[in-house]
Amino acid sequence: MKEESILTVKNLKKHFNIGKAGFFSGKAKTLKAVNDVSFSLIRGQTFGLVGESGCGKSTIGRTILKLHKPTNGEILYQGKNIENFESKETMSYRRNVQAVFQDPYGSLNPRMRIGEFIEEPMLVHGFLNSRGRKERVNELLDIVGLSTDHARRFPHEFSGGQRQRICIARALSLNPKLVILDEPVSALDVSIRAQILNLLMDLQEEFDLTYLFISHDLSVVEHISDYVAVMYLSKIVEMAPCDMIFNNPLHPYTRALLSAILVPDPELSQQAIILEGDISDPLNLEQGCSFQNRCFDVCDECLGKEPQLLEVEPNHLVACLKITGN
Amino acid sequence: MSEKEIILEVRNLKTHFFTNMGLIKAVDGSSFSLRKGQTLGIVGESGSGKSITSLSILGLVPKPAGKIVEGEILYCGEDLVKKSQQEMREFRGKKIFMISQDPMTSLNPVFNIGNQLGEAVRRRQNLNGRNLKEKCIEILKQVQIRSAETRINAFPHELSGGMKQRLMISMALACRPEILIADEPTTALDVTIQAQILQLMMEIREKYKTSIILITHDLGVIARFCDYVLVMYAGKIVEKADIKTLFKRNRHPYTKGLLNSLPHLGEKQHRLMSIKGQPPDLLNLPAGCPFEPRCDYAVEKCSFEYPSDESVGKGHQVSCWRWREI
Repeated sequence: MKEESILTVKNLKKHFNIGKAGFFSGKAKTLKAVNDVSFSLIRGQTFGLVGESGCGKSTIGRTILKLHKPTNGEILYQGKNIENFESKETMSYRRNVQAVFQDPYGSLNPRMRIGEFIEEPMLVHGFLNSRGRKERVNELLDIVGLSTDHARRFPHEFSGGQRQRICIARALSLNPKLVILDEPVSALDVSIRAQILNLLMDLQEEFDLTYLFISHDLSVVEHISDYVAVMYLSKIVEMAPCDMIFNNPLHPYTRALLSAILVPDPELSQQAIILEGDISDPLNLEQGCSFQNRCFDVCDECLGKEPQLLEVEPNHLVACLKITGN
Repeated sequence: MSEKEIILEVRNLKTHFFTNMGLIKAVDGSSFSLRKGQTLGIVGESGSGKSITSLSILGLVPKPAGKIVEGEILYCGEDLVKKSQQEMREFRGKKIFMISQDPMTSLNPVFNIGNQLGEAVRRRQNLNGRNLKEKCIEILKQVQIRSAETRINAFPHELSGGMKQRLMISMALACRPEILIADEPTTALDVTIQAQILQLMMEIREKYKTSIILITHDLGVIARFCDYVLVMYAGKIVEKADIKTLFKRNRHPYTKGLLNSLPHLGEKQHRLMSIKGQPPDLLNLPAGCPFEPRCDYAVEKCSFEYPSDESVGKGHQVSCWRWREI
């Protein structure tokens, strides 16, 4: 398989300033939502980004979509930094990079008919003529498994799963190359979730799409991804091809996360590693490893030194002093 | 363990909602029983009536739209449906305690933790002043809230989601209820925190022999923690069985579909088996079996006649015309 990278994220940092407004409000604080993250997306593959709430996974997605400006570092699309794009290039970038979000109702305009909604991006980008667009809408509805007379209806007439199909149809309308899927199935019921996952995998095969799949649900990520990165508090702690992560997790956080997956089989006895405590406050991080206060394998060195993401075996990167050594 | 005494028995419960749009049969003829020390799981998709079942037991069906139109809820021989609000108020908290999905809505934002937990403690024990505070701190330590001495003065918004849920459990500990109803207790939480909370609930079960009704859509949670399971679909219990039977020898097409639509760890299958179609519209349910439009096994009879509960094995009941062939 030829591995051609479509988008590369290099040392990306995204910091937010919090509470800087008033004269009396004291010193502004910086929330490091994404801190020095690098990875690349390979054409036609799915890159899974896993982590708990607040670890910065959605911020990465949003920065790639140019909804946030990176504080530092760069995002290269076909070799060019997206921040240096001219307006024409930006338009073409936006056409090629689309997104599907978690809450399908939040992303639908309640006053817009589904047909208009799917057509809108084509209108903005001057894609096809009026009749061509109508035909394309019907084609897209068919692709995502809805019927063509749904085009005249409004969002409230659809169930959650159908709404997510509509959002997928809209994302596909401009023939994108990369789709950012930010928790696309988390809000759906189990039986519908399987339908949408199947649809996403079929579409990937048919249109040669690249996915960035952001989720907190490990079993879903394992199912759909080729490559997985595990994030903890704004950093990637482990990154490897999917099988490697799930068969041979090395970072203590990944191990705990995997052991916490509940397998739906009552006869399987599982020994879960139960982590103590909560995620540390991202505004007041201690020195050293950010996982130190919950780690079951912590040593003195972890308290002072920040671990780097290093390769321990081919393609398998881990950020843990115990594993990579100093 | 099947010979333990029955603590709660629900007989032919029907909770209906009379809305402007029409009649919604949220719970339609449920019967089940809960034994002492048992963990009863209720699974189903959103809108299947699992939460309304628990609210009916607590006497908290939203009024005026909702009403228990038929059936009995027997707690040690007493019918809870016939009790007045005043009597139910005494009953809730002391005998039955509920932990909801979103702990923030069950906590009062303007009172601190000590105040709210103290209220729960006073229902059981006649303590005040310093003794009450000490008791509260002791309980908070039991649920592993760190630095309980200072946290007792904190307000709910200062706690993380996992900690709020632990606070709810601490209230349950203070009340020592005989039945603990947990309605999606971990759905809003991260995976590692979910493991902590479930562990804590199981410790309580071991220690105080509390019976638990665990409502969830996550079959992994069910497999790990329940003894007996009810599967609900569109207000009806379609299958009830003990945990092993349900996962190995289930007889209802919906249960089967639900289990097949989960991605399995370690086995890379390309497509998930999904249940076709959309979740049912509760306002326009078919006359026969509500699952009929989505069922692969449906025959003509299914569309006009609802199958009655049939006993398949010991403690295993199914509502399906064709269970023998499944």
